[in-house]
Amino acid sequence: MNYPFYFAGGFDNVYAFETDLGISYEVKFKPSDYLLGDVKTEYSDYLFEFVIQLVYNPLKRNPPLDKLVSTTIAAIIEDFYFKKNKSVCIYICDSSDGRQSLRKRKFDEWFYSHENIGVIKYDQIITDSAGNSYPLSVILRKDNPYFMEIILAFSNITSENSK
Amino acid sequence: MSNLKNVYLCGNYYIMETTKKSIFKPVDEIVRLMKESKKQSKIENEKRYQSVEFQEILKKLRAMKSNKS
Repeated sequence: MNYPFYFAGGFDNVYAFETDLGISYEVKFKPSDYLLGDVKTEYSDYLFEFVIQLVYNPLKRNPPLDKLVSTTIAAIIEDFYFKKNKSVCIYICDSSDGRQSLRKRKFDEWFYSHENIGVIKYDQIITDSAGNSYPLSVILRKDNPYFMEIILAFSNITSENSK
Repeated sequence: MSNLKNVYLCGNYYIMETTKKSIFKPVDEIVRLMKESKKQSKIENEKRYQSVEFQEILKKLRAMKSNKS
């Protein structure tokens, strides 16, 4: 069971839904081939940044736990991967307030309770030259034809940095 | 395999990490671009709810909800 969602599409592949409490969310799959270096690959066009955004919250406080939000996001992911089965989504937790680890934990809890949607998540922690760490996840279908290449490429992001 | 650095278990798959050059940009660049993207999303978000487009979407969502119940 989930909230009805609407696919608005556009450049960022926007989905929207509204909860019973009138809280509105948008889920976006933003094309992200800009993360690639000079080398373009066959799957460049399938790279997306996965974004969950709270658009409107009439409560003026943190939204209470609503299980239908997570089932709706799972249904949206399932729909997107049905439409674009070769998609590879990158999820990086917002680190602007230093709470990226908490967000990562919440995202993991959510993801592992919806594993039946046919996608797999590969986690990576990347560390910049200043020593700051950022959890990064890549989500793709198990039957993605570029599965091994993509996972290897992500593994190598860390290898490159540790040289 | 001389490039092999590490092997991980990912679901039902074994993942080999190699020392081969990544096709992705360097980490600092990835972090900078992702932060910029998030910042941009927040700016867009501030005006989103009031936009005609989003109000139209809400109308459609509410119609879908009332048809369902």
